[in-house]
Amino acid sequence: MKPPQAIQVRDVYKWFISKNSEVLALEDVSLDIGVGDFVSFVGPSGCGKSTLLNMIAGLQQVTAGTIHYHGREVEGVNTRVGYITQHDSIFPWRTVESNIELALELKKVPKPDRAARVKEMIKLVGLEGFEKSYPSQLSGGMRKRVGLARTLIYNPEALLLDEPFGALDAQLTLTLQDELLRIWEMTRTTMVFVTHDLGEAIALSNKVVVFTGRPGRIKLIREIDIPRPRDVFRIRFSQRFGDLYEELWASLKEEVGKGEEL
Amino acid sequence: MKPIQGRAADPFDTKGLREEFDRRARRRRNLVIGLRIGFGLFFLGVWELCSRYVIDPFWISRPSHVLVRLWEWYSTGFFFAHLGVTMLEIGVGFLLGLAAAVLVSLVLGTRDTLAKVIDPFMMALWSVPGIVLGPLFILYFGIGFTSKMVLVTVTVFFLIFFNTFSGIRSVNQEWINVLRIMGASQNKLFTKVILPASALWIFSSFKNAIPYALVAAVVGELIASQRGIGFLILDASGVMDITGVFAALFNLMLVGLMLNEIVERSEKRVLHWRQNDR
Repeated sequence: MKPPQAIQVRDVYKWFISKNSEVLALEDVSLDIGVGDFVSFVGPSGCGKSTLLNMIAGLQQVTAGTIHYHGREVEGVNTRVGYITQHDSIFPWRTVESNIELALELKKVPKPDRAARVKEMIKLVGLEGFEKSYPSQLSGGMRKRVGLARTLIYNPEALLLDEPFGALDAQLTLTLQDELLRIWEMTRTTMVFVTHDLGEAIALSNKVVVFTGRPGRIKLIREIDIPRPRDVFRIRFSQRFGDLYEELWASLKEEVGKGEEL
Repeated sequence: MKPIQGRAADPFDTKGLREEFDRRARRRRNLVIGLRIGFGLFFLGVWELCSRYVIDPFWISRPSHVLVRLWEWYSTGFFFAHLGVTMLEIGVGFLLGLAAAVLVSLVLGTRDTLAKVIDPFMMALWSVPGIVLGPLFILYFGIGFTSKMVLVTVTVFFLIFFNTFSGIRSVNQEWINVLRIMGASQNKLFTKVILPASALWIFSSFKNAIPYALVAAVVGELIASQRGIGFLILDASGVMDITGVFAALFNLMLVGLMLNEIVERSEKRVLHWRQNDR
């Protein structure tokens, strides 16, 4: 019996038509992501991996093909997922607490329940003591944590992450990767993780999807059979990681630069 | 102020250096305040002397005369009736202009096609200085309160509208996407993202609009009126009472400074989250 599917992408094409250009961003993409799976998209910039993520979120429309989310076709904004981007788009006019609370506020959860959930989340991402701070008073890593907590608080069935650690320094990236894994192992939320960092993709995922340069097609889907729990700090030195990196990099290398000249 | 350098007996005992820094900062502040007062007194002194020995006080009046006149106005309460009228024109006009500007920019800022259609008309209206509509408004609304209020409203509306509109247009799309995925309705998008994100623009236009609101009210009163600070100026200059004109101008200055102070304070309150931004 096949495990239940969270996201089913079938024969998807995406064209961007504007005044003086027609760009084929994605060509004939089909893909299954199981419930509770951790899947990464890698590929050269401009390969449409973020576009695919946006289409799963319902923020952009497919030109042809279908995307099903938990068995239902995605039409309009998909409010059952969480969505985190490279820019920690937390609101500068709200405190840490009230940023995290936002989703519950929108869902009209009563105040006392909200406070309890917020407290839980703040503990989960390790922001105790910063509840009343404004984002302008936080470091980049702390802002990421706020963004994560704000998304996790409404228990989305799946998290869509678009290069979430893209703009951080190497040490901080490792720390946050570690926390993301810890959270995933606890919640088993389906994760779809877009990155340009192949090492990050291998370290975190069950499956890595390699895209070709523009137009983006799926070149390769590779199971990452490194046992869990994983240690993101050490995993890079393991033999298995090295082999997988070699293999995937050989495939990715041919594509890097292809999408660039457009 | 520059950071202070120096040697301390104990490398972790910076108390002495801190005291030295505070002392210098205090001295500097006192110097600035002292010089300000000195400059003001010097200016008044030159004016007083000129009016005694050089120029006929009929033309430039005299600080001591102005002071006496101000005392008369304040102590009899004569002035406050006029002040109240002008402030009411500014206050009501400003609020109406602000409300209309925010409302219209919210509507146009989220509707591309409509904004494109309206744009040239807005620009055409904007290119007419609001003040020149004064005589027209006086014809329409009479020489009383309403005509000045409308003049203030129109002036303020355009100043705030353009700023707020571009503010709303430049709200970070990611903020909006995040909220949509959380299931926010269009109304919630307005109240939770678009409005707070535009607060910065609204406030910066606030600050610009305040002096113009004052100008609009006073110029309206100068055109035709029976009360208000503008009327005081008009009335005094009509009978060649230069002292009265200066006294009214002095009060106008005070009102301007006061309004500015109010805006700065409310800005700090509403935009307190920016405290650590540079």
